[in-house]
Amino acid sequence: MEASENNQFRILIVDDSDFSRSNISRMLDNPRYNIIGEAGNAKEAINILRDRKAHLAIVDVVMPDVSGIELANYITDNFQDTSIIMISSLGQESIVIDSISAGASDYIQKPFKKEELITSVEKILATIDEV
Amino acid sequence: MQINTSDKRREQPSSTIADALLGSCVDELNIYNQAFLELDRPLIKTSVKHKKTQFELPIAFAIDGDFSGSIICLLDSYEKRLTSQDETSFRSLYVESMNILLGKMMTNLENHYEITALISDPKTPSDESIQKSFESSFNMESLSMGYKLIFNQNEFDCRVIFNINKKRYTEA
Repeated sequence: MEASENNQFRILIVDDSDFSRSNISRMLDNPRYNIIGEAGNAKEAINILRDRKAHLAIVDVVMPDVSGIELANYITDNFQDTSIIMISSLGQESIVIDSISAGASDYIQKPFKKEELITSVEKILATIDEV
Repeated sequence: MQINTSDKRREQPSSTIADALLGSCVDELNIYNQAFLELDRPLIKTSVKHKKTQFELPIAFAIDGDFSGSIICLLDSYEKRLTSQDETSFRSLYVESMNILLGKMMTNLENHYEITALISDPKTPSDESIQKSFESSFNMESLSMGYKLIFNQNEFDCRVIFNINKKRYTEA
């Protein structure tokens, strides 16, 4: 999937924390990014992705019912054009490995700085730019 | 990302989960420049737990892995004044602050002591379930610590209580 006509990259934020979602949304407040939706759980995220394509999904690992890693697996299998960045307060090696195995391109431990998030997002979006 | 644990703590032996949790505590944490957490009371074993007051906001996490149990966080809002706009977002900030604090502790546990444990998503427990978890149990060990959550020039005292399943971790 190429960047949209107005050169905006379409980003979905998935986190069960309202605070975290709005914080990430604020960090990505830039004409280059189009936040296509915020989801509080995996089901909401899948519904948004079915309706609106995203270049990137930023997904929290620990969420109720369906975990972020299960969601990442689903996105990898069903929305191949959507890259994934996993975020979590947990930084254990096994979770990072599981996230990457599920198709995530990057993993960022909370709390992260805006620069850290932007660097990760841009690194992934650069691969889309090249398409 | 730099993890803030003192060298003194790191040198302590981790013969028990309690020692390892103590060594994994975080002294202070900046929550996205919107709030700060400061360790106020270090982690200690506790047998007497004060009953939850009506002003304390509860959050509970389950722990599972090399040991199991639960964590109850109680934030004291007594005589704290927040604007209505702040109040709307404050609870979510508090929950995420506790999530980040405990996530860091679990990460430190693995990095420094090779003890693996994950926390669940946060739940809001009933007063009844909190009281039940406070009652002494032969199989459970309780540990308590205190943090100050600093937000908009207000300082909120927060109790963090670990209820650890003794049977499970002695077998681990």
